[in-house]
Amino acid sequence: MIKQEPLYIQVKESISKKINLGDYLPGEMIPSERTMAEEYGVHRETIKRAISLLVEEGLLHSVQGKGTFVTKRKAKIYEESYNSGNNVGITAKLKLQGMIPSNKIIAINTTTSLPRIAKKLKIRTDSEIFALYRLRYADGVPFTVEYAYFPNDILDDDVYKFDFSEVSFYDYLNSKNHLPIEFGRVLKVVLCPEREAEFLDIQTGTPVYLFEDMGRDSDGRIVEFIRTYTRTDQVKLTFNSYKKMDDR
Amino acid sequence: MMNIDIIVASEMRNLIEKGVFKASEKLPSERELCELFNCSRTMLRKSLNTLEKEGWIETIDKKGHFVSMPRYQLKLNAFQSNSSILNSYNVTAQKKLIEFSMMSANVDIALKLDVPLGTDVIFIKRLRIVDNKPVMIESSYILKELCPDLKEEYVIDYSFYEVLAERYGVNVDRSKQTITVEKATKEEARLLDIDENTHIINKKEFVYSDINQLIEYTENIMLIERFELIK
Repeated sequence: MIKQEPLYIQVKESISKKINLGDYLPGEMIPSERTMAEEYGVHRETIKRAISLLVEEGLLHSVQGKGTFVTKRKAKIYEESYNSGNNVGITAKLKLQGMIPSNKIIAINTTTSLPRIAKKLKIRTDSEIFALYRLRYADGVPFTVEYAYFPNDILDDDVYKFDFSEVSFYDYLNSKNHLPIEFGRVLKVVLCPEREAEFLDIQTGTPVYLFEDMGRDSDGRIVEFIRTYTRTDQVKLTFNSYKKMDDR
Repeated sequence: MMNIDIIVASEMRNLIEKGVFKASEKLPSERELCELFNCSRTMLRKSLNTLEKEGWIETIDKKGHFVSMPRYQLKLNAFQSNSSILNSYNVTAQKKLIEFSMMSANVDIALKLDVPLGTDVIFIKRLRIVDNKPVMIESSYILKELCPDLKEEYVIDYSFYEVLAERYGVNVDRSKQTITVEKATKEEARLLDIDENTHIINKKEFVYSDINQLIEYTENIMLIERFELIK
């Protein structure tokens, strides 16, 4: 039997999630304790306890006579490094920099309507493709729209049981022995199209990084093709280049 | 969800990649495209808009939509000179020397090259022109001690890295690069023949020799739509 967490912890998690998803923005004042007690249907004491935990963690701070505010974090530059041979997922990279990652699922389904994707995945044009579209946030600010595609036959029906806004998709792939370990990448800078601009909360036409990445598993099979649009104001790219061993 | 315009845009990218729609050629009319993809004019226009923003096609007023030329590919992880990248395409690539001067390293350059303030540095600024259009501004700072009698002619007529190797015995081996997207300065916009405040790619590179010496710092200002980086 699963024991439920104490109420004040549940409330704390809920407020924390709202901060991460940008429902409460950095610098913004959160609702009064009385309002929140009504909203959550709990005693004011419970709200007080939840808030004091979040103040301890540094997510909130109280201003005398005014109220409780979401703490602004120092803007950090998220570095995408091409150096690591290991598959360090975005979540891990963000955590390494002390930023809080979160995701929103935009869409999840299977399709046979994308021949270009089938070509990139090196599967038959009529094969089913599993599509997972997500919006990723760092410290509550959206920074990447991700369109991920996988050959449906490497997944099982249980893929629909998981919440991939919480669970790592790579963990799921790993459990099916199809973790991508080798990567190919094409990077362009483009003007952000309308749909992606809305998701990223920027103006249409703002420059963004457009990545098209391909991943192979340990058998050498292509198991993923991912298109991402990433804000350039949030990300600095670094990479090392070497002369090939046989170059003279 | 799998919206029509997502499907149509994807298929158009496919047809361009396959060469069904060829580079520099005009696309079929919007009416023909609607028939081909079996979609509404509205959905088609949405897709075309996306493709234009992503640089797959260009729209010329009153003339129509044209497939863009393929982008020049820079390899991530494989060290290469800009000459070798641009010369490998079937296009006319030229270098125009904008500046060639001696300077004493100021604080900024001294920090970047990891040398004492005032160290002698050679500054070379070149404009890369491909098919008669400027595409990149290269600004290089090199330690003078490595190539004391470097002449202007060497950097115009030959690949600079080849000159370094053959004349001065300095072999470039690897580099660390960072990429940011910024607004072009007035001077950059003038040289690249673009509107001021257009965004450009700023690729900064620290180049090391095969004895692990930091020998050069360059800033490459590049047109967004002409390049892609691949691994």
